[in-house]
Amino acid sequence: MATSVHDVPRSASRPRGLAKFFVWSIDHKVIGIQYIAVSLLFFLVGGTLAELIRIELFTPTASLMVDGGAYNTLFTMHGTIMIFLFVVPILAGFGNYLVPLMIGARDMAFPWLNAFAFWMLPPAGLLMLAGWLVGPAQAGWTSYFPLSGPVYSPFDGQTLWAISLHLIGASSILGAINFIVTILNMRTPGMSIWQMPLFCWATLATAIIVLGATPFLAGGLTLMLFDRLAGTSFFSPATGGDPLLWQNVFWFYSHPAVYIMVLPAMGILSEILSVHARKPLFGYKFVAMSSMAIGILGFLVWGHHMFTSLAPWARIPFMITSMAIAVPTGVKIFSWLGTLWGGKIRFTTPMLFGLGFLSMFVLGGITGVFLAAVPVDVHVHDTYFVVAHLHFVLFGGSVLAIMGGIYHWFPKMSGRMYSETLGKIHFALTYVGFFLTFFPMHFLGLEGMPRRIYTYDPKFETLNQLSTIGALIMAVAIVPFLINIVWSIIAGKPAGNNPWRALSLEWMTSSPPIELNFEGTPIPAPDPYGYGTPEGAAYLASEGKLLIAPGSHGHGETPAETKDVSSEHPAAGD
Amino acid sequence: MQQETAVPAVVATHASEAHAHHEVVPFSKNNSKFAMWLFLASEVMFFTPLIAANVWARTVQPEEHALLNIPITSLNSFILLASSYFVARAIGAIRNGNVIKMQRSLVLNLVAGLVFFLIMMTEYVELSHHGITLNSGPFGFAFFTLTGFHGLHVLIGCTWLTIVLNKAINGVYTKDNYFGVEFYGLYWHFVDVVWIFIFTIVYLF
Amino acid sequence: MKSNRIMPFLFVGAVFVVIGVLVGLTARVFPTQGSAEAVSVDSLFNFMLAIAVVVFLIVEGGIIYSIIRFRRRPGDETDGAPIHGNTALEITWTAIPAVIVVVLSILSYQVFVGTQTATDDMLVIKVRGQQFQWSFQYPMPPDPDPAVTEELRAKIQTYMVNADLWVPIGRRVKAEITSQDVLHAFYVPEFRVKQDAIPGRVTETYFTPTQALDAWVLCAELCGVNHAGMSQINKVFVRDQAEYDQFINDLYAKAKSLANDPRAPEVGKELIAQKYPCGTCHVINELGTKGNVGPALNGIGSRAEGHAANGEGLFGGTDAAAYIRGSIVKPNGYLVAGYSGGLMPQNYGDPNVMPEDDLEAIVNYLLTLKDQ
Repeated sequence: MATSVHDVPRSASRPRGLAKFFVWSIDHKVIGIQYIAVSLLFFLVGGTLAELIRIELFTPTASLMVDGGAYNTLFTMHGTIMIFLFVVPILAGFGNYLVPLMIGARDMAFPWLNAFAFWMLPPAGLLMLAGWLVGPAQAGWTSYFPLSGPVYSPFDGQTLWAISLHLIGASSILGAINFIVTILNMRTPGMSIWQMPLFCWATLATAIIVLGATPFLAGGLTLMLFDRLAGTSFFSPATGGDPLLWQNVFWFYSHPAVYIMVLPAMGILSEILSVHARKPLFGYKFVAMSSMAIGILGFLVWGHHMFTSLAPWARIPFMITSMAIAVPTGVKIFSWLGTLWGGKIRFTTPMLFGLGFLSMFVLGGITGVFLAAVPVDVHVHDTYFVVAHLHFVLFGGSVLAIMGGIYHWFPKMSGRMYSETLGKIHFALTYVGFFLTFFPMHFLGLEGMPRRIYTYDPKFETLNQLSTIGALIMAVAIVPFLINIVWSIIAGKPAGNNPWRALSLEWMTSSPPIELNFEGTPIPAPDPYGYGTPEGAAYLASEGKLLIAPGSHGHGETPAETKDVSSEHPAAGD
Repeated sequence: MQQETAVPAVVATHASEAHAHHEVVPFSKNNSKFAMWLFLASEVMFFTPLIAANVWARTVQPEEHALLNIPITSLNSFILLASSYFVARAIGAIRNGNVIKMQRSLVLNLVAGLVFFLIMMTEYVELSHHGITLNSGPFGFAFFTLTGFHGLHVLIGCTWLTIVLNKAINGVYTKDNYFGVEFYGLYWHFVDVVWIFIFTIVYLF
Repeated sequence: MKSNRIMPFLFVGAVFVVIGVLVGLTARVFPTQGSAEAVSVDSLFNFMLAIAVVVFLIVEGGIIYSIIRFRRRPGDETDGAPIHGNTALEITWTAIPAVIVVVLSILSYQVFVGTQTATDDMLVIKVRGQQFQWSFQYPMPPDPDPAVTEELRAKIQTYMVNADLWVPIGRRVKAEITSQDVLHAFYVPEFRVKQDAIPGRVTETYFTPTQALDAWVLCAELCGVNHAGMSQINKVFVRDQAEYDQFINDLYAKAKSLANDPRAPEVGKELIAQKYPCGTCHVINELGTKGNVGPALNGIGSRAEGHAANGEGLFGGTDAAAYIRGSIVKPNGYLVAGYSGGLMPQNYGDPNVMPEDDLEAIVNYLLTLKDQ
């Protein structure tokens, strides 16, 4: 784990250009892009599976599928890939790329460990996909026992599924250790913890959740593998085990995992909204602390996934804790609204995705309160209402933020501007397609359509058809996105260091940043969101070279006097 | 925490290469120790479901608990505690520059670790004579999975210790440079602390 | 803020509240209210919906207003107002949601307790989940016939099983739910009840039907290859007491006759039709089943005789019955060409899952299915 880097010699003939992204590299920027690229590949795989699901559901009878097993495999792999091989790693990729830049560090605390964590991911993904060669997992991404046990799932794909998640889990734990040490110990001189961009706060909260929750999954998966391979039966009742034990272990990880997937996305949103509305983030400390509150409360709510299997008395405490999460979530939503209020909103592509997040995520948050109320949940549990809710949170939330983040930092990562026209087409199609796909699902669920079925009562046909049309629109939306990325990398206009005139440190260096990130020791702005303040304007004008006199707008201690200090912090390497 | 990382040191290894000065992050003891603490915290969360499975198994098969040999295991726990003491003694010794005492303490630590593991194995054999195996029922699989993973941690610790001991004998550690011993010590103390929980929860209650 | 600037916002807020209340009072997004519980759950839902609509309108309204009012005008390169926060406002929008969720928790608790109450005269129906069909076991009516001993009554009770859920209007029902294989979830949307069926445990749920209706019993927990089919196989019939009594008496009369000769082929046929889920994976034309997971059982009697003649797949026995019996209790022991193992439950040899009499009766029935 904590291997030091000082004895790892750098290859003297490291590849340049695009080739460097295909080989071992300990540069956090390369690793970040490696994470993002691999995750986007898996996004395409998971998206294709989703389209197949929706095409099957266009009619109430079986159309594509030979049997239910093939369909069960589809949604099992769709869920697993989207969660563990797309959303979680791509957000780790953003963290890798951005956190050292935002805090003015030269790299992560443990660059070698960082690379190691990334390179666990491709083998894990290949193991997951290899399931199709040996009989894929079909017990759902939750893999409830006894269905996922050796008797009812004799396919080796289920074993590969568990091994793959084990690898991904280990990768996230190593990444989380790295993030926490980096954020707490590696900030550039002069940056207090209250001057960090909120994305760093969100990553810190996420890393703490990963550290607390993911090992629990590792323990559970270990027991699952023992059950499947060594003949134990922790979870199979026929031989003395208890299937609810698995549910408890699984959800003790997997509910916090929701916040692993959504908190960094909220961090991205905070950056986007403030920069493109040209206005300080409203209630910085409330937003930062609400991430922490969500992180802690997130460990106390897992039982709400088991409202139809837990003993009735045990459901009540989980209802109360689950409802309580609405409060810090509400703080975030209202703070983002407060950020827009009185701004000078620029409708760039990242801002459109940010506004899309804000307008859709709120619906996912509201339906979350319905699901927390036990009597309502008992009716809609395991119906399409839940499918709608989780996609409003994870697609309307995380995925829209991820897309916005890709556009927002694309100029920094590539050094070139993307095409606004293609970006806006991408947004419009995604937004409309998303709403059309998932909004009707609320009504399907309320009417009582169970999830995970490939043939259904014909009375549900119309809403399902709307949903499928929406899914096809989303599939089309990917085309301008891919064209935009590829075309802009090759032929986009040079972006300059700071095309958004943003205040956080990642914009105070070249695009893409030089190998050591900064010339000399970077000086943070007194307030990373100080838009509209004279200090912010002066800092921008100096391109990050000025220390600002103590002002009333900084969130923490600010350096004492205004002077050009870059000469006082000589970088030793130069 | 910051003073060490703030020192801008770049380890230039290949000065002739244009970009060879990309040894970005100077080695930091503080960071490494902090990371080890975080890793150990995540290990706690790994052992939690395994210990929970034992608590659950007790409710399902309460009578099997009588088969555990508490006197021998108490002795074994004492041996493991002693091993932790030897690590602390080794660190204390090298801090004062006493290389020989450090070497002896580490040897004692290794012996204690291996004895612990061997006694654990004899208990496994004894239990299997009573028909308790990995496949024999909730008690068996919960017990063997938990103690097996702990034993694996002991073995990993012993392997690591062998490396540390080898360096100690070759005179790598000095009064001013004994981080390797300290770093290993954090891990070994953790293995010991986990065992105290296992012993208390699985054996004594 | 001056009052003439805040008034429009208050007015819009009032309009939002009115819309929320109207939506809460009029929304009908649920299926038929088939039980007393449905009424209380729906009221709770609509109350929450009213609050949700107001919150939703405030947020979306705020976004749309900001987009229009605070959009950057062409040529404007200035920044927005440097407002970093407003502690009073932030505390307010922390406190108001907190109060709302406390109120919702209390209301939800009350409704939930109401759905869980037991009464003395409950009708207790035993529900069993199986891959991929439910079966329902009913209490027996009293029988003055002195020939019916306790032992015989126990035997008859095992035949008081039907594939459909019959319940009388106005009587509180307690469903005692279990599963013989994997997890299932007993779900009747019209009653707003759902409860997981967990192997090795008996879970409970309660409902009081309020009106005559026909509906489906669904399975809401992924249970395997034919999970989807499990939601379109068992019906719910809510009828008045007289009709329900008629159903129970007919069921009892039939059960009593089956108990006379527990291993007869007719018993096997009845068991497959009502109790065991064979038809959800195997086609049996005589019973009209459509399952496509395993091989069709039409003509299985003839094929079993062929196996007996060839001496293959007999599980150590010698006759056609041994082939069928072995295929039921050890489904992976001999696989029909084109079908993979591991799909059929492997616990039919367990007498708690399928008693010996039932197994014999089913074997005897399948032996009668000859090639046409």
